[in-house]
Amino acid sequence: MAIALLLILGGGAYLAVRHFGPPSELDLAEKAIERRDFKAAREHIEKHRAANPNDWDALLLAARTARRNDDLPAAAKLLGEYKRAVGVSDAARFESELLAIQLGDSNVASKRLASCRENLDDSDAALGLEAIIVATLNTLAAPYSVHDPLNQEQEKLPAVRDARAAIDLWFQRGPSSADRVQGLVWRARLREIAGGHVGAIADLDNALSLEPDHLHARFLAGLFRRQEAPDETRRQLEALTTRFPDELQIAFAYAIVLRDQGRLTESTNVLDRLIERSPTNAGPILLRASVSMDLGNASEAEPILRKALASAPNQPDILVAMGRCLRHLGKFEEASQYQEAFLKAERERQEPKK
Amino acid sequence: MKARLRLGSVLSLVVVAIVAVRVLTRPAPVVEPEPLANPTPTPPPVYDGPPWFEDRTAGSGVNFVPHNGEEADQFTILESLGSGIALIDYDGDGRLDILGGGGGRFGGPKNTQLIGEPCKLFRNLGQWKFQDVTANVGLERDWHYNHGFAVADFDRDGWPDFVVTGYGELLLFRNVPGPNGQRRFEEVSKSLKLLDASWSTSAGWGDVNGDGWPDLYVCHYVDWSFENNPSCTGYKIGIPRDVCAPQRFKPLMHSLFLNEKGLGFREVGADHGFKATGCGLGVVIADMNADAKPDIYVANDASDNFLYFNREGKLVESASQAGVAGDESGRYNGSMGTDVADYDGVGRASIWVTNFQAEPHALYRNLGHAAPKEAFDHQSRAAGIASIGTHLVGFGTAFLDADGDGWNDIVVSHGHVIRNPNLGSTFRQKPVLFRNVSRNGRRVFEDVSARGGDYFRKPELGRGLAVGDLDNDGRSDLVVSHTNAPVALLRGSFGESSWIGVRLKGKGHRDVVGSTVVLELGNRKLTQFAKGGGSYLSANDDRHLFRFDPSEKPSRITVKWSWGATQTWESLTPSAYWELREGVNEALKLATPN
Repeated sequence: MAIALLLILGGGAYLAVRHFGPPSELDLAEKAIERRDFKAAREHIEKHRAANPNDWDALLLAARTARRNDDLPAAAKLLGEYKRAVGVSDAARFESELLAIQLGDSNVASKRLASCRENLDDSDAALGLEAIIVATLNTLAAPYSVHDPLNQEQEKLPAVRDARAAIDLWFQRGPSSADRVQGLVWRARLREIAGGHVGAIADLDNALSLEPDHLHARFLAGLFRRQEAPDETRRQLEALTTRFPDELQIAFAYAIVLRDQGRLTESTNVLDRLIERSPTNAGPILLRASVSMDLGNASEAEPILRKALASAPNQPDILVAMGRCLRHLGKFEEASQYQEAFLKAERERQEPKK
Repeated sequence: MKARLRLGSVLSLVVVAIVAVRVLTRPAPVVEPEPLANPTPTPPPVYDGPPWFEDRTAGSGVNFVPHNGEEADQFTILESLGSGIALIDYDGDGRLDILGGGGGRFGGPKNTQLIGEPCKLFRNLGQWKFQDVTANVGLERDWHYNHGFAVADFDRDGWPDFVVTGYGELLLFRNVPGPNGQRRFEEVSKSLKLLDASWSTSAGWGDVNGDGWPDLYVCHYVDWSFENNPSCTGYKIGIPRDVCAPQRFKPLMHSLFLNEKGLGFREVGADHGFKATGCGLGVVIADMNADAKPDIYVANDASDNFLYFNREGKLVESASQAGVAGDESGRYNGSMGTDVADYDGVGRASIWVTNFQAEPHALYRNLGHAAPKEAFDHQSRAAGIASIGTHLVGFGTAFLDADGDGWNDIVVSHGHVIRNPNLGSTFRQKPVLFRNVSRNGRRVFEDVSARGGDYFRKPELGRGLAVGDLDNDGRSDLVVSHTNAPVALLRGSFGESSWIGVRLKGKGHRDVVGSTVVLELGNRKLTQFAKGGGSYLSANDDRHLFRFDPSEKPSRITVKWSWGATQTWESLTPSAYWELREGVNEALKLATPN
């Protein structure tokens, strides 16, 4: 009887915990993946794997999630671990293919696109389409960067054609709300770089009507308007910086926009906080030196730039900033040397790679 | 019963456990933040005050439309440049007259024949009425596909002459006596060997070699022709063809024509190391390093800009070293119009350049280092210039004191060169008016286009722009050329400031470009520079207009002539134009009919 009671008690407690208790790390990971929060998903999977080191399915999920989070080195490492532990299963083969696509193998991407087209309702199709789209977009421009328009050669690239087709298929699949928002953001990025600015803005506005707090959509909605409505860009980045204070890329973009508008003191404040949190990040350091020069404090900028040059002696942006700084300080001969070094670095940068 | 009780107890325990688990694991209440606002364009600021400029085109008699021939759908880069304006008192009546470039079109069976559209001269009758005198003054003729003007008294007879630039021909018109005491123009390019069969755009006069006679700098653009006319696809989805970018062509070498005492011209660009590395569109000549010699700044499209310092008559290209070849990233811009002014009240010439889309217009602050270490700093961001965005393509431009506070404001005409622009830009674009204000002890520029009046609210294909006081009321007026749309006349109407206008006059009509004029007020000095060229394809009023607060009293005006001498005049009365003559201590009050 006691045993029966204990079993009942134990079973009840299990059911209670299972259904009403805290979700497992894997449950949380799945939920995070559903809402496309791959960073959070990786943290949950990591916690789960720490407690369950022999859960090979979780290891594969960790590899896939790292890839979807654009951390391709980590994805390759985890996938390698999985293959060594389990062997080359179908699942591992599929994940290897997706990783190859994201690493830039356009032949694999084209084959996968054909497969997705034929089997659009398969659950794997979404993963394949996603890899094709992300690979192309990230080759053309970093996710949080200003996009240069495609040139005619890029326009003809098979990868661009495949990405366009993949985005169309993505919407044909009838994606979930989160996936739809993501599709709109992808399409906006591709449209913007292909000269479809109005369509890109419309996509981002649609995305934000579905998910007003979508960080990437709002960031791009601000950034893409930087040419015709820079004040709006500043306002959006200001809001994002307040809402997502840990996103350094957003804070950096905000500092750039503030400086563009001549708000030098505000830009300085943002940059100082940014540099305090990320003291070796070259971008904010260089911008901080530039703002110092804007304010006429070239002597303040000089040691910052010399330090930056010590770690990156041929970086064109630092060379040209150093030239600017030395012109301010009247060190004309040395300024000319840096100007020459900049021109040489530029020539080397523009020479076709052998 | 007992068992049932026990079972009941167990069930109760399970329920308690469930409740406990739910309570203990309930996440802390999270206050969801308000969703972020959708990005919607900020409405432009409301301005209820009087417009700074009144559009006086209607009823003025200036009903003139420059053409570029785009209706032939040739998509040539030729049609992207447009036409200029010259303000020239050709008849010496004290009123500025208006010379407008006609442009051109394409004709012939294949639309590959270039046909010039006529330039027009409108005589200023006063009270904002103008009369087309093109035929009366001998300017009715067959024209080449023309672009712009540069005005100077090249033969030093006291009357302003001008050149007309364009594709395949450069024409020099001498101002000569006409019937009944009137003036007319005589084309003298060939007889004076001012021969230029290249593609000339902006030009500027200035005495480079110090002999007193104005020499001529001529910008050349690229090696386009119908034999070198690639078809370029559009810059956005679904646009099969558009105008090619200048990078598809080779830049042409610019020219410097030495004026041989008004009797002829000799091209000497190669002697000064000119190279075919810049697609020239704008030029301004002024003393940029305070050595009392005219220097030359050239705005080049899609290539490094040039800055030629005048070292004892030898031009030394120094743009890269001086920090004015490109933007702060060290890379070239697509530059069009240009001007120089002392925008920050330090007495030095800073350089202003209007640029292509995605590039802020460039403000290069003169750092004031003496020759040969002249240096400028790219201040577009710090000065707030970039706050208007970078979707605009700037052409004609000028520093002017639009609000009468003694500080140089800026006006820019805009309009794209490609028919279907991308990234949020448009073909027709609004002009911009910047006001020079103080912020935290620095001079910065605020976009006050909303105060400019109706003209500043309408998108146009703006190109040439000239500044001058058309009604002699002490306020700068504007004349703006638009491609395939009427030229606009804008009357400066803002501010009740005091003013003094001056014209510099060298002995024997010696050229004064490169001279500097300083007006001393109570506790500040206003500095202006005698300039050749400037803006884009256009020629401004050659008088200097100083505006200042009525509480400020002008004490002295000093001219540092471009041949090194310095001369001062005391106590000029405001609200008048004065002629300041070399070697004459009394200023001559000029006639200023309205």
